[in-house]
Amino acid sequence: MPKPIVIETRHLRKVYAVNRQPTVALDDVSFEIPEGSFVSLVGPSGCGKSTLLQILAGLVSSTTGEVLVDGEPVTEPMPGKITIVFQDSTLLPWKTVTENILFPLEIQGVPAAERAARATEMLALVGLTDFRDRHPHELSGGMRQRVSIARGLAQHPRIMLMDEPFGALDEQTRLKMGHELLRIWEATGKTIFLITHSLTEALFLSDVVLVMSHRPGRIVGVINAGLPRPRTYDMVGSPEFGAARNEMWHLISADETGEGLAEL
Amino acid sequence: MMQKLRVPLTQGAIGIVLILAWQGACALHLADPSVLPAPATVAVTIGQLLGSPAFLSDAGVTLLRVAVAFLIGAPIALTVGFVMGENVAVGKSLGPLFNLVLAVPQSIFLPIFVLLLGLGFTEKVMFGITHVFFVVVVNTMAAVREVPRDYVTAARSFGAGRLRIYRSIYLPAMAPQVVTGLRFGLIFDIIGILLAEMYAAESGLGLQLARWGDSMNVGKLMAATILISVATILVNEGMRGWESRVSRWQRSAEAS
Repeated sequence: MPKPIVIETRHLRKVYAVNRQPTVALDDVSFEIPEGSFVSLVGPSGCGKSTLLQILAGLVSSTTGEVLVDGEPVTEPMPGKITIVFQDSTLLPWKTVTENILFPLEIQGVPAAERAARATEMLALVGLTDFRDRHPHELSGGMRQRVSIARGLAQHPRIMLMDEPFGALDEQTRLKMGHELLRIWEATGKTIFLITHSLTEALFLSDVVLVMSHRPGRIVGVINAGLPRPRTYDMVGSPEFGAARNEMWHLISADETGEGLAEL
Repeated sequence: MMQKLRVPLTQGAIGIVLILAWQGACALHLADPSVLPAPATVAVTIGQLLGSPAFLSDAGVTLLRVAVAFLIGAPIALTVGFVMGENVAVGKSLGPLFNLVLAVPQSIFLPIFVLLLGLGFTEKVMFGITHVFFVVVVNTMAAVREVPRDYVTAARSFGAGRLRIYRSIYLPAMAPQVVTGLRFGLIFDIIGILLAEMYAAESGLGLQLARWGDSMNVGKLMAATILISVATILVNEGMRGWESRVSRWQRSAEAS
């Protein structure tokens, strides 16, 4: 039996005014994300990926088209259902790690005892229990992103949107974090929608990869990763992985402007 | 321990040496005591002033003017600065005006204030308010503009409403620069009130300073000058302590 669809976008279009000139950021973006799946979106920088994510989260409205979450149109943020892990961890520098995790829960009115319990549980899940009283600047970039993930998961969302969460990390940390994320995903069963410009990262982590063109952002391909789980680093060298990666590469470079390729 | 104490010890030693040199110069008649009274004499005069109801009453008048100007000026300035920072259109139209005004020495407006408002409490307080106002507005406006948008977006995604965002994101993010603005506002306020009192007044510390200067009452002039200096230094240090508490997160974040 197929999994129910949690996120569905229908013909999303977003037009911005840039220097009073209308600029199309997204055009006719339609896709579906099944419950509990790991879906990534790849595309060149400036293709409107982050705009799309903000629309999904209800932070920005689309010009036309709609986003349905559980069949309901999204018009505003849905805390407790959707959470975002931002590219730059956006942890508040004046709060400790624990306080940062508690902050959204306070906003959402979670009772104090439960807030504390969730923070403890999530800190253990991301392996940062010993750092609970530190401030963000005392942590490495990778640790900060783990706190950011813990902050997201502590809200008990059904969907976690991730905007280039490992973009600012070095290659090795990035790989480790990817593994870490898969472990957390398998342990929690959340639906994850991840934005990245790394084809390898997208394929390694995801069930399905959506490929987006250069501006205006359109979905130009849907790649089924088709790799068995659990994923291992060896798979990156496999012929299947290479073939899928090539296919994505061609989709992006077939972009008529050619600009997308230059920016990858 | 010694390492930590070295700077204050050196500073204290320099101070003591200077006072001893001053006292020595007077004892050796190198300085005319009617122009430069000895520190010991000044110390006695300070004691007399602190016991004098007339002096305390003048100090009270000045203090009241400074406090009223600050308590009226600061909240208005915080509000105006906040609106100018938060509302791009308002900020763009008014911002340049504020920068122009800031370039003009406010002291030159004093005669106009006296003409318009006459001498007295209102004129002094109004003059003090203008001194508080501009520096607090400019700092508050800058502080609002520098609130990281990412934090606001994140808080919105957690379901935070406007008030919650102001309280939990704006307030701590803005606090360091706003308190700096308030500290300068208070010091400018003191400058403005004392200046207005020295220029033309019927009471207040500034008036007494001007009188003692005119009548060559150097002992009282020196004693009052030292007392006012100490008081303003204490005010400044108190405000700096507050500033340092609210900006602790910023300093440690920058240090890393």
